[in-house]
Amino acid sequence: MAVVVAEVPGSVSVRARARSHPLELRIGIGLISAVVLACLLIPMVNSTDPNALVGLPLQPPSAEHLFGTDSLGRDVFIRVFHAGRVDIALAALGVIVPLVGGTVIGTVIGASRSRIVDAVAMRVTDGVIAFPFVVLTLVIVLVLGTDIQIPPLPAGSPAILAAVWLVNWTIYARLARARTHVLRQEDFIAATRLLGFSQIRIVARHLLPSVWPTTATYAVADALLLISLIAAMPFLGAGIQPPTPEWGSIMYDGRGVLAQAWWISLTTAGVVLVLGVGVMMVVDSLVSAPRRARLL
Amino acid sequence: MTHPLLQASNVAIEIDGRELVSGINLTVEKGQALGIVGETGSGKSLTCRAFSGSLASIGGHVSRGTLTLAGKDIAKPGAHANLYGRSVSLVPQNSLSALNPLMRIGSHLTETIKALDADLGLGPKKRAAQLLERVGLHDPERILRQYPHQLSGGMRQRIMIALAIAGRPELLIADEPTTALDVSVQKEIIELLVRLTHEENMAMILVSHDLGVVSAATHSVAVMYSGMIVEHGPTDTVLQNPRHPYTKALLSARPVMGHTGRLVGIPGAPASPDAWPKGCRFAPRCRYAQSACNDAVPVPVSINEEQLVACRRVHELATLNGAEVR
Amino acid sequence: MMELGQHHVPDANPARDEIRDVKGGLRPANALIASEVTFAYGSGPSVVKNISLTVPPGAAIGIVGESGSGKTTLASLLIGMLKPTTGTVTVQGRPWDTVGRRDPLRRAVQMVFQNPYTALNPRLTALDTVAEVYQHARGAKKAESFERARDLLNRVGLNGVALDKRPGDLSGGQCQRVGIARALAVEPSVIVADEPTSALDVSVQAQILNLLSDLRREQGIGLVLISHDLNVVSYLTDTAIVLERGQVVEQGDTTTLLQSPTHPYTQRLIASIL
Repeated sequence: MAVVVAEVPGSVSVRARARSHPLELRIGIGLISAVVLACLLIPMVNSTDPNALVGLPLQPPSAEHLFGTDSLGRDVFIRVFHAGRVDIALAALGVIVPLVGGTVIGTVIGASRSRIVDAVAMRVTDGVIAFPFVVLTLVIVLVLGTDIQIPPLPAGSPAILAAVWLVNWTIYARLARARTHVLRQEDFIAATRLLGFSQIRIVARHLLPSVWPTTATYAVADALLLISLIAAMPFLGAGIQPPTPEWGSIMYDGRGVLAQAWWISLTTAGVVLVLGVGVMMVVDSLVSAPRRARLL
Repeated sequence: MTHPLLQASNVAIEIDGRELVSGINLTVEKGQALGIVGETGSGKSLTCRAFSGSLASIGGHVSRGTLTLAGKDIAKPGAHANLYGRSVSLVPQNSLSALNPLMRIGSHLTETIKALDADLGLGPKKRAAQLLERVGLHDPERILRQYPHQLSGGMRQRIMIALAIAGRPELLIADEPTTALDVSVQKEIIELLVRLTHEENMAMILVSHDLGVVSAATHSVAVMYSGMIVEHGPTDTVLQNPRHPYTKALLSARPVMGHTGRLVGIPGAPASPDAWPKGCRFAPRCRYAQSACNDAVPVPVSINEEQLVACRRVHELATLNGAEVR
Repeated sequence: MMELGQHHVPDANPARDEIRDVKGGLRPANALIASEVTFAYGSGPSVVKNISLTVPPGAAIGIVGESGSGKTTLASLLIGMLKPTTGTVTVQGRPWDTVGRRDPLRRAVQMVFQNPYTALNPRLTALDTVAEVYQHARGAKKAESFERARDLLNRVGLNGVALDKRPGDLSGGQCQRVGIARALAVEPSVIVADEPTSALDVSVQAQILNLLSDLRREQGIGLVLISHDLNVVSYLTDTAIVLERGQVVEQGDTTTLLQSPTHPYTQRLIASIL
């Protein structure tokens, strides 16, 4: 009987799924690249200090100040893309450490046949996940305070990173463990056991490579959530301290003058939106099942 | 001679601009069963889809030739709109994925019966029970209340058949209906299909890789390879006296109880459509191939007015065979 | 009922516990033995009931059954992946639960799986898959591992560019060859093949069946073939057992079993062949 290659999402490789939605993937990557490049290049090309007072306050967008000026007279355009560097860097750092750490821990736990190891790990992650993520992160940030500074990171950010690292790894560990439990049933894993491979080899060479796509896909979306979280902190008095420009604090400041100077908050939100849509398109194209069934 | 129910003349099927099936010439009459045999990549499933009208969903269409069902042209897209279920229907390969796991069997049946307006004046529920009896499922009342996963593979396949005959179609297409079923159940399902086609005077097309199934259930058979029919004729003739090298090889490749002696596999593998040669597509793997075989696709040759063989050496090989050890 | 392989079993005399295999090496008299094995998942009903089976070196034994017969569970028990609820499975005299993960005896029994694609790591090429076995299970150096892997793959019929392809780019038959090579790389005493050709086209099946038959003849490896296909069992095996709902209903010489079955279930199975 001819083999039917099951087109069930999850059993299809990420590469195959991405190949079947090429336009969406490309547009998404394009949007993300546009924002990232802008954040990298604009501050290099334009040497205006984001904290300098370059004009009258609350000026609408003009040729000289593309996004207008804020309530202190600073150029919003420059601030937005300087802020982007901070937000994107923090989001990347905030995601990569939990991604790598959580995936490895989760895979090792998932591969372990010891019920005790699994039970302990589950209780620990359950405990962390049970707390509302935002509340827990905020508590850690507030406890650690905003004074700790590790250059070149802006003041206030080590606390955020520490909080995110402590909390976020659990989600990746959970995902990795679940995926590993599924992979464990596969024949090729049984074969590695029959061949007498060491547990380390099985985890590193046979399990992890198939677990990464799952957690890495989640990481892309997680980065976006993290940006939102960082941006939300100034609204609660925590997070990155002024005068360092940061998307959330720019929007927060702009809130007060929304009626007269809509451009401050909205242009910033626009840039965040473009980045967000790009991320969503990338994630979507990597997650959805291919459109066409495989022919026999 | 009665007018054939299904007539395919020189049908070709394209997907995304690539011609994957060519030169299909087949007819099926009421009460007759045609087998289509082929391995992976032969194009048999695509051909089935053309007959049952499900090419569009995979981006395919009939690009050449004429295809008619009961006189109506079914080659153009959308032609099957009112025909599916009433004139032609399909029993698919995998019953578990064809049934909605959250819907009871009764709902599957009554939904189909209502859509086809086929309750025969009995009301959908009674007709559903009647159909289940028809396919050999006793205690229909209980089965109607169950969900697909609660039934065995054999019972689910019977239900797929019930769904397919609900609208009393003239042509029933069964695509590998017994794959994944146990041997004893396979026999029952095949016997059921044969009985139904006889009792309802339906035509049947049975697609299978299993020559045993085909020999038990069909009157004529078409053997497909790389998108073309390489041999076509009455089932007993083709299986007992195969004339195309591929058909011969296929028959020699099967282990048969009681026959010792080494199996002869076919070396190599079918080429992918991008690499199909200009000439005979089986030539690269054929033990009788000569250089002339690569010049052009062989034109089917008629043997005894009942067997069609697409091999330019078919007459030569018949005389050779006398001296050859099988 | 005749106990399978009974005529091969000497009495339990250590001096006679070793016989010469086809290459003249010494192997214990009974490579793989299941003794009164019963298995149930958790507190559920027994899936395998009181089965005893002996696989002498070089023997080819068929296990015939339909779905629900327990044949796949029996396969898992034979390769030591499942622990019997009662009874033992011993390999070269030692029960599986005394054989640690890295014990060389662990490699004495290997498996060939039904689905040729999921039996392989989708990210490794054919060459990588087999070379890894030489490197990490046999302790060979990297260069040597690749050389021996190449040789072995050629011998099972995989050549040229196919060696550098991943399972997704190989055909079912090619994948199955890689799976067989991987199993052979540890020089096992027994290969358990669970429906090794039922997912393959007929012409490819013939190639794989011939390969398994040749390997058995050339290397004296025992074969336990699980199949619902009586034709395949008749081609490859010398003796066979028939399973129905977890129990052995008939066993004996394959040809005799299939020509003159005595148990009604066996008779029904044979009569169902179209």
